[in-house]
Amino acid sequence: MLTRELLLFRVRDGKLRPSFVKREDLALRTLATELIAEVAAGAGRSRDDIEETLALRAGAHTRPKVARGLVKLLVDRMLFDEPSEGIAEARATAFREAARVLRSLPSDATVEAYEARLSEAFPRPLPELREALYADLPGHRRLRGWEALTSAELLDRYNLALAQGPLFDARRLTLRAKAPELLRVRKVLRWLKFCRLVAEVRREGEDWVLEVEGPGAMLALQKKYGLQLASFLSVVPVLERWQLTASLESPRRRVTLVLDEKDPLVSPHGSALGHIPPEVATLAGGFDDADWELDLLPLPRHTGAAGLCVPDLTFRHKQTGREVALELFHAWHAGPLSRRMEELRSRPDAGLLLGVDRALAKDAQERALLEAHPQVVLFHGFPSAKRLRARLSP
Amino acid sequence: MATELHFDCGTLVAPTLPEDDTLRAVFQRDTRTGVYRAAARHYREVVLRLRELGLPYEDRAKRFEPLEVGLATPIEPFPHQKAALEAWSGAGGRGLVELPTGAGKTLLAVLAIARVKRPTLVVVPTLDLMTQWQGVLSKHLGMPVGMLGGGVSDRQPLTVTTYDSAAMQTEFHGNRFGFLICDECHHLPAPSYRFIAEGSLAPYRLGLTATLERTDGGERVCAELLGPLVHRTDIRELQGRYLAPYEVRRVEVPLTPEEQARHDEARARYLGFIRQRGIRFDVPEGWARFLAESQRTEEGRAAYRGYREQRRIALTSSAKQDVLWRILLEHREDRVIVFTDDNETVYTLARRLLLPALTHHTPVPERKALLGAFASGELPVLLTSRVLNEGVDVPEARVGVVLSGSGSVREHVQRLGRILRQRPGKRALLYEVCSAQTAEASISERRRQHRAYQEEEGEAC
Repeated sequence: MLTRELLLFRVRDGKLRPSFVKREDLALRTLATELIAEVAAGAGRSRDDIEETLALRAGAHTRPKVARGLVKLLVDRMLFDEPSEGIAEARATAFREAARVLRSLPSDATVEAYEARLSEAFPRPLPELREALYADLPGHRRLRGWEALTSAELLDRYNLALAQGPLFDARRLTLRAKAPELLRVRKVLRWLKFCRLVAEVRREGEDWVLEVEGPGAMLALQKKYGLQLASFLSVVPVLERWQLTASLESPRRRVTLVLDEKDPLVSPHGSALGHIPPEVATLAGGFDDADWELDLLPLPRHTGAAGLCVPDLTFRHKQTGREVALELFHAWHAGPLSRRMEELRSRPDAGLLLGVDRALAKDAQERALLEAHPQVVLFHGFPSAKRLRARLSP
Repeated sequence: MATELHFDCGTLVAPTLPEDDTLRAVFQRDTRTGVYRAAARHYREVVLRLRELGLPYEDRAKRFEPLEVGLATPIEPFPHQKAALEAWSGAGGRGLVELPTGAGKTLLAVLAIARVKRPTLVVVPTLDLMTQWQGVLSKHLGMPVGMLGGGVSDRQPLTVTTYDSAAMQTEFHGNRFGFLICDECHHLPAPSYRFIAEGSLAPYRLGLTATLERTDGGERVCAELLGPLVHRTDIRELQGRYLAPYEVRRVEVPLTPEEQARHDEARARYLGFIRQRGIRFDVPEGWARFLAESQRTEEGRAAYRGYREQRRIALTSSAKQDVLWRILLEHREDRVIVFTDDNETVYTLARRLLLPALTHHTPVPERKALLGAFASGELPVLLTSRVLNEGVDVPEARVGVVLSGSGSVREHVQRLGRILRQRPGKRALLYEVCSAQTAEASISERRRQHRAYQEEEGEAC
């Protein structure tokens, strides 16, 4: 992330827009390549030395603030060695000896006399001793490695950091996902939970609107969720078509950050989106019912005190519009099933069915409990349409 | 159905609530998730209300139980400690205690922990205080004490942490402790720290400080989050009996003609720029505006360099270094702490005189070793910037030298406090060395506006 003084943006008509750089900008690509080469060749050099070299390059660039931002992102990816063993011990020995010398001086001694006595007391020359005394300070540590990336990726990270920075002043953000694909929404919602944020989610036609904020944001707490909101932003570009707004509160002014898919933002979380289980796809394709229709893009549900459930699919009654979500628990979901059952007990939710693989109900007592539960459908492989209909229209 | 209480990231959550106006006034309906939510700090009043109503409830929020803890050996508290403990207990185990530095706030906390017998989180401002508290709690309570901060992550039923670490961790462990102690609690009102108390369930709370009063009225926030001021003892009530008598000596040193010329030139450059731009430092954002404007032009950058140069000359003049040397020599059989405003000066002096430096870069084990060697007399001098400003217990220190500092009254009082721990026959001495005819002289005047300085003896060195 970038520190506040490295952020570049423009404010017009109350809207804040980060001053993104172009990925194809030749001068910046060249600078990024040079900076990366400097870091890649910097193994063994001290942190102060590398930072000074990078800062000089940045200062000489025609866009020094952008350049300093790139340097900051690179420095964040560097790994420095731990202090060498024995430095602290050698230092302690030197201090003890110097204390002895100080105490032995006459009351009219000069600093020069003290230095002369120190020179006699130590086998090493005094200048050398002084130089080595604090060799383990952070600035003296040696570069051990770094999290490599290409020049294009560095510019991508820079653009993302420019957009993330202002979110440190936000209490909440609004994200509109335009007609998103199921798997993209799922990835965003998973990341929402990972960032310990909550969202009020609604569907407007084919679009999804998420009002995202921290759990305590509704209260008069001083807790800031800026870092979590900034972290959440990193997954948003996965959506492909989206718009994001966030009201920013600084002591001087109130502005709105506005971002959308036309901005050059790239998610660092990779393109892997998971997959729709074939049995779900089969059911979706073959589900034919006079009363119920099936929706593969269901709204997430808040469960229990603090749980978030992203159902696998939702059944919607054609006449009444009533919705019943289905969440599937396979053999490897024992923990999540136990948690969800607990949450249902804590806060009943008649609109949620749990499809539970019989592998999770091996124990007779456990099986009896699950079979008796009005919201549980036990299955082998996948719950049959017949069983599901029975639960939907008891 | 029983009311369930849950802890969620520093908030208290109830999926359902009984029809009771008092409870519904504490909670807010969370339309995002369909539950009722309140700041975790309201846990105590919520539980007491449910009990008062005789309603069943299931407490899934707290993750602590009463703790088998007591004093390893009996402690006979001083009268002011006893009075403070009783006042705090009488207030239901919540409240603020203001005691001068050296008056035994840590032991008061030990007594309070032994009385309430709950897992306790102690929050302190610095890593040095963290290790010091850990040592004192382990010794008097006879059980392991964990630490969170400075690269150490060891949570125990009794744990000491820093404000910075606690601010980040409260959403995860705010339900693990029944007793929250905020040492030097005048830090708590800072916006980034308030959540430590807001997001914690702890029904028992104690705030300790030597200087509760804040210029921004933040003491009201302390009272709201930790409880009211229940006890206060003034520094003059304890001086001589529980605190060492002390003397403050102010030494004003001139710059050399060459230093003065360089200082005046640099200062004129800096002042010329801020006057030309109409920048004022008596308004909020004045400093930020100077920083921003000084980076935009060559003239601004020269002004910024001028600011740094005039400050550096005033803080580290050769006359100051001469005075320091004379003080160190005069007190070479004492224990001396030298305070500066910045790390650069600390390391410059450390290298020049081969004296130990203690800054935020010093690793926790080395800090412990340095303080131990200082306490034993093996090392007679410690150089530090600000990390020893607060609370760290160095009873053997008799002499303090403020070589440079800010205009903060609190910083100055706290520095004085480092040398006031009582020892038989001890008379503490605080030197304040400042450069004449520089901005430092007025900074010195500002920081001395405290009753602790009203009876000083002015004496040339």
